[in-house]
Amino acid sequence: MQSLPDSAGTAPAIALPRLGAARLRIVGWWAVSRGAVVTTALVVHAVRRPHGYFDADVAHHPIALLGLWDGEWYRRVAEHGYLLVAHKQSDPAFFPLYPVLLRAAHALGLPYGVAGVAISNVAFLLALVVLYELGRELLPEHLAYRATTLAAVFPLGYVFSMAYPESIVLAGMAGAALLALRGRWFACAIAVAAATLARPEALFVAIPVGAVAASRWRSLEPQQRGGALAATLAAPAALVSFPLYLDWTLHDPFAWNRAQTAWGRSFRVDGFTHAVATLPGTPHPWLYRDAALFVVYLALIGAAARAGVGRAWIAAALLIVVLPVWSGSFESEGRFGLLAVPVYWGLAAALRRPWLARAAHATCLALLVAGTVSLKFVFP
Amino acid sequence: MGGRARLQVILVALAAAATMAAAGFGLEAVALPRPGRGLLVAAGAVAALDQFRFARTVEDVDGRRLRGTCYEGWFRGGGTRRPVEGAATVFRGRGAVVAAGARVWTFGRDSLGRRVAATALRLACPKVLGGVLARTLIRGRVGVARARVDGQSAYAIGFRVRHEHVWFFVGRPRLRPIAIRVLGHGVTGIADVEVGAPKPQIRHVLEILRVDRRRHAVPA
Repeated sequence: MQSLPDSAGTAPAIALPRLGAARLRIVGWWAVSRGAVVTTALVVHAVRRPHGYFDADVAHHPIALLGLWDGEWYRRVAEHGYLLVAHKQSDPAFFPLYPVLLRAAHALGLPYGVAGVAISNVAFLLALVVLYELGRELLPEHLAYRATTLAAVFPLGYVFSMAYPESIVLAGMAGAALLALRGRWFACAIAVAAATLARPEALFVAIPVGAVAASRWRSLEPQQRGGALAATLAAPAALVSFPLYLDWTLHDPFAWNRAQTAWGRSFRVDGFTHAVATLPGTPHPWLYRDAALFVVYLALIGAAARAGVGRAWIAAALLIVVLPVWSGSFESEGRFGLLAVPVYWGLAAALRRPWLARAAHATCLALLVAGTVSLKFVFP
Repeated sequence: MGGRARLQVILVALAAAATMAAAGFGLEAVALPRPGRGLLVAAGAVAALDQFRFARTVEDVDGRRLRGTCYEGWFRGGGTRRPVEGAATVFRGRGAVVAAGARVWTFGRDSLGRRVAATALRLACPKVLGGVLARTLIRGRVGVARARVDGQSAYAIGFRVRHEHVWFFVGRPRLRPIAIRVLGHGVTGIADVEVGAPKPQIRHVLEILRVDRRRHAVPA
């Protein structure tokens, strides 16, 4: 990993903010973007249009829109635990940390629907602050700030307010990398493990974390080296705990794999070609959105690489974006790419001109609202 | 770095990784509820049905006694180009019922009415009922109790399908289907189920299904 000096002759697109003021502005961006998403959900609930789409699923609670789709599954796990139903979509496909947090919040008195949205939004604030701090370690200040504000208003970022674990994973991944850069290895290991227990693709943060450990190995004391190595092993260690738990509770350590297959998520050698071949004429038009975002994400990762983001980060981002397509479908590719941090850095690097950056922020915010409205009939 | 220091590094790392794995397991075990024994039995019964493509039944439905053989698999025909998953039951002397995709056909002399045919198919084909049970199980609305059926130790898996109460009896401990009972508005039935079928009976069923391609689904 390297810090990238400002390019000579290129003025910062946004005036360089002081540190404290920058953090406050990030909180402001969080408030604006999350406020837009939650307000949209409330309006949808109140208006209940168009007929046929906003039914009992949305009508039963003002923010029910944000608890749809996978949020119902996470809630089911939190309430009832895991149960594998052969050849049917069932809940061992969902990793355990988020249901654990839901259950903890519910124990404190929050209804499940409110708990999920609250946890996600608070975690997203943490994720944005940590993302900014991480960006400052690797990029010029103005790029780190711009990347963070763009992450706040990213069009598919309504997922960060839904009863989904993406906010926690983003906070965990960015936090783990930041802790690694600051030499706090055991805390880094905990962050990696927590993020991986929320979603398995968080394990790819072990690549940049491992790169930091490798670059500093010679200067580390033996105990620090042990911590650095533990941080690199934290993701597989966390991954191992889930099949152990499934074996204990369902007597089937492969329940996650079986559930993934029933969800249509099993890797195949011809996965990418199958995903492309089955796209034309698909009965699910939102797959075109996900396919387009796949291409956009690759372009933004490329922009991040050109901006000087380290190879370890680029490799991790490529794996996060490309690997899911090898299950044979572009489905949810837009959501998966939200965890590829270099996407935001690449977007920030591409929007050098002030007017372009402002237009991008406004456009993203509008798309964020539109995406929230579409939630009932478009799978995130 | 000397050998001792290297060993220290590895031990620290492994200890930390093992601690994290154990902590993850402990967190899940403490924080998340475990499914009840009954739900595990019901899920196991659904999984056990995977083994069986044929079943023979003797059923009493809507006042009629029917002896049937059920074949569950993939079908072509009825306007579909691709094979679709379905089930067909040939009733001795009463024609057949085929359900493939979202359609149901009844044919043969003295064929059953549509409503009776649907119930008769569910009574005859445990896997069809298993699919309904699986969808109900995901919503958690299944009750399981111990029972005795035909002198065998069994589990009674009870659930509702629209306006019908269904009981699916499976043997202990292997969870093989034994009997099915349906209690609904206007149509009730009970069936003794024997999964698997002798090869002559299988050939007989498949031959019947191949006759008259225009009307019958053809096993793919």
